Amino acid sequence: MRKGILSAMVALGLVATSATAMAGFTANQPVLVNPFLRVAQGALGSARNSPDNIQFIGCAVTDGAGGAFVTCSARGPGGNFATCTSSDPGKVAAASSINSDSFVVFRYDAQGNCTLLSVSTFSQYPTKAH
Amino acid sequence: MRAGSKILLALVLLGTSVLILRGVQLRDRQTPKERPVAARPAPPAPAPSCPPAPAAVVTEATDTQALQAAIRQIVREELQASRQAEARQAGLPTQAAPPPVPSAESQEALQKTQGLVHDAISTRYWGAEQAAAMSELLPKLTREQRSEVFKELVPALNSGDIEVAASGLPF
Repeated sequence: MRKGILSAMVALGLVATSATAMAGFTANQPVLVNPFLRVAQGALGSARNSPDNIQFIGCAVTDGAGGAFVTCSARGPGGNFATCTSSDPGKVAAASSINSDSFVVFRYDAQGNCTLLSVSTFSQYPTKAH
Repeated sequence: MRAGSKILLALVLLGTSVLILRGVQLRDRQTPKERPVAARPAPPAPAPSCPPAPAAVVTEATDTQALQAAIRQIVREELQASRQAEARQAGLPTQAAPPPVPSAESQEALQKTQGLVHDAISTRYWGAEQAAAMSELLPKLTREQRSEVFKELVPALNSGDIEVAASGLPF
């Protein structure tokens, strides 16, 4: 009887271990907005899965009479807000590559121009749970 | 050949042609007595009432002027190309076509967006309604008009002078 319980516990432990190993490396990246350094960053999945109802990050590409432009915006869990715009084709292309598993960093100047837009998509960034 | 070498060559040619032209002009000013004998053509007896037309000299001067004009054109083109290449390397905008004249629709959209921005500055509030209105108007603006609007609105949103109550993108 005791042997049976022991075996069951070992089996359960193996299953749990293998399940953890299959998940791979994960890195939660909540939204950070630093208005002094004029930088915002975060993973879309982390923002969406966060328990608060505040944080978000993302970029929109809009085409119009004046050509395409990108608007990036973010709000951190503390309420800090940042936004920037750019008509630079490189940044428009970078923004177009964002998907729901992306990690986004943008920097901006005092006039609100995006001076950097970095988009990375790695397996460690969480996907949107809902 | 690099642009600098072309300009140098063109300048040398220009200088040479200027010297030739000046030489020709100097020779024209000289009286027949001052002219070197070797430079004279075969000496037919000159009639005082009808001096020989300096056809060769005129042709030479005309050719020199044409050459000078051509060289000036080359220098101008090379300088312009060189400046544009430098501007491109420095990431500066090159001499571009003038911005398109805004249409009546974009002018109207600009007035509306400016109204939204001025209201937001006075009320210090940017909500979902303003965000929606702006996102509808922005595609109608020319690039210059858009920059004008952003220059006023975006720094105020980032500094907190205008409170952003809209969730998500502000426009």
